[in-house]
Amino acid sequence: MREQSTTLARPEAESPTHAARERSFQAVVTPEAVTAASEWAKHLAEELRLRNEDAYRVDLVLTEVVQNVVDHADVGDGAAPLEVHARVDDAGLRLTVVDAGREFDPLSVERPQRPDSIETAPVGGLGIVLVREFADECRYERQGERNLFEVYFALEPEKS
Amino acid sequence: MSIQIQQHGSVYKIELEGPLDTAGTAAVNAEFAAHCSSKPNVIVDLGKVSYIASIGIRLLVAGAKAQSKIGGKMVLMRPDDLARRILKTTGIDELMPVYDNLQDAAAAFSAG
Repeated sequence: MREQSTTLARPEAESPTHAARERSFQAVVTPEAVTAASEWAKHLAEELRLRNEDAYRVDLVLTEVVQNVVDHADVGDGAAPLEVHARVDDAGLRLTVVDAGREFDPLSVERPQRPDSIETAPVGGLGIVLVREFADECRYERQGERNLFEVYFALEPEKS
Repeated sequence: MSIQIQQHGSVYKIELEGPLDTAGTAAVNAEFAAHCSSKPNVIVDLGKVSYIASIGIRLLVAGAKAQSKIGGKMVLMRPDDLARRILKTTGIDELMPVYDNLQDAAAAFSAG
């Protein structure tokens, strides 16, 4: 069994303002990385004092993007790293998910057709639909041997 | 994540509680799938579901497909605002009717 070496760094407690700050998260591309990334997103949202709705969508979008990497990176048996970089300022939060898997642009996948009945409904393929809906911007870039997927969230004023 | 199943006449209410994320969905998947593939007509109560990721949507779609195969159907009940938005975004609300309370959800079965 491959060892999971996720580092789950809890964001440091700092001033709750949105002055530009950066955080990062690293994991190995395994199914466990999805849960670890979700936990990290929750800690980040807590640190940034995000409104519940913003915390929800940051968690949801990061979960779906990392799930996509796990499903499509095709990294073989090696311990392929996955990194998430967060940058937050007064305008919003930008997350960049970087992996060294095979080239895969989730945004190139056509949105699944809305099925007429439950019998013909696809069971999967909805993660990227949620990413497009719940992030304010998203873009993909192949940079050298790496996939970069960037999502941006305009943030409402923080909760008191 | 927990799952409770109660019978209401000829209909079963499946109450899920907790997040339908990767771990939560894995925790209830076996019991949910087993019920949906064996006992027709199910109301899934989402009132205590705090979060739904696409893996949770998969659970619901797979359950509804299983219901269809045994001549039953699945309806949903009490999703919160964000869950409702997720159901709408994915088009699931067009495949499984969504109700605000048990009475209305149960009436969906008696109406035929």
